[in-house]
Amino acid sequence: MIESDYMLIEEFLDGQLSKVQREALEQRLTQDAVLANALAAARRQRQLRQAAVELYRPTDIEASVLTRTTMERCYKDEFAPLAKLDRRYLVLRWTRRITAVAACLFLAAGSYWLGYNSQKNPVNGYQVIINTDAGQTVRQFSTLDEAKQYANTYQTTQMVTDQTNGDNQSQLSTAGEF
Amino acid sequence: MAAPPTANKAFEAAVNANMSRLIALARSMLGAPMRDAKQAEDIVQDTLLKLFRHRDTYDWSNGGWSLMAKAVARSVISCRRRKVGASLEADPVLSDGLGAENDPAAVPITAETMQTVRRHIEALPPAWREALILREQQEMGYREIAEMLDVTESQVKTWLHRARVRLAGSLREHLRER
Repeated sequence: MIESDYMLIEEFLDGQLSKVQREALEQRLTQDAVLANALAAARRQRQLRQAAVELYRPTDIEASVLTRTTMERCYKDEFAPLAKLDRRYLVLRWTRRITAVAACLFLAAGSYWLGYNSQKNPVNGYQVIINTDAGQTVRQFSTLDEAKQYANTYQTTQMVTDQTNGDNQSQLSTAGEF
Repeated sequence: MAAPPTANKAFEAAVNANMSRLIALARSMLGAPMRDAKQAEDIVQDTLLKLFRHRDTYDWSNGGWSLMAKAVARSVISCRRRKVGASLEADPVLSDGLGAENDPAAVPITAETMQTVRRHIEALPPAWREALILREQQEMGYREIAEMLDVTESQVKTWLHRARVRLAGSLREHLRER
């Protein structure tokens, strides 16, 4: 028998021959005892190989444990993105808190600094203090003329204070005297 | 979005029913059940995990064996390629024919004989072994195997033939030594 005949037998057992090829081989098998024996031998060897490969099967207990651990892994994997989201949310929440505290501290420090500076370096300009029965009103002006014009509109005692360079020189007058 | 409960149940049932065969498939394709038993289990678990992520897109009504087996086979092949590169070298040495006169399978099938066959299957070049397992255990066609192994159909035929010849020769030698 030649090698191509063995390959033909294998393809026959593998079910890979065309209808024409199969029928031709079946015809030969009825007439060629050597070929028929080779086919029977190939079948037996195949069964032996298939039986041998069955040895690779794990025991029932092994398979059961593997099934359980596989399913555990699958479900764990499915919920992993949620846990990641939780972690992200936690980070975001703490970032917000820290940002809020930092903003408060910044505002507090800024306010303190502004207050300190305004005490140290008063605003340049003129201040009109109007004393009325209802109480005291204070207005800021950049020029003395504006301050006087404003003060003259009131009938009560006014005070114009020059704050330029922190001099705090005051002019006190009654209504319409500026 | 979570998969519907029916997909979960179908997937679990498929894993439960096929785990043993999947492990056997991975081990036989890897050809290293004792040396690196964990590798086969890891490959099966990783593959099932990937299938689980898309479980609602597959049809599990037929038990899922075909889908799972093909996925595991692909994983084993890609795992082997990563380890040894894409070389699928063929062994040029061929034993004599597979004649019925030399039929090594014409002996009673004992546990020892099957262990011997299994050892010889493990000793085959990886590509030959994969082709043989996919053909004889998974009953895949030559074309399908060729696509999976990324070779031509004639290459698959050659590998199958060489693997079978070598296994027959090895077994014959083993029986002669006894």
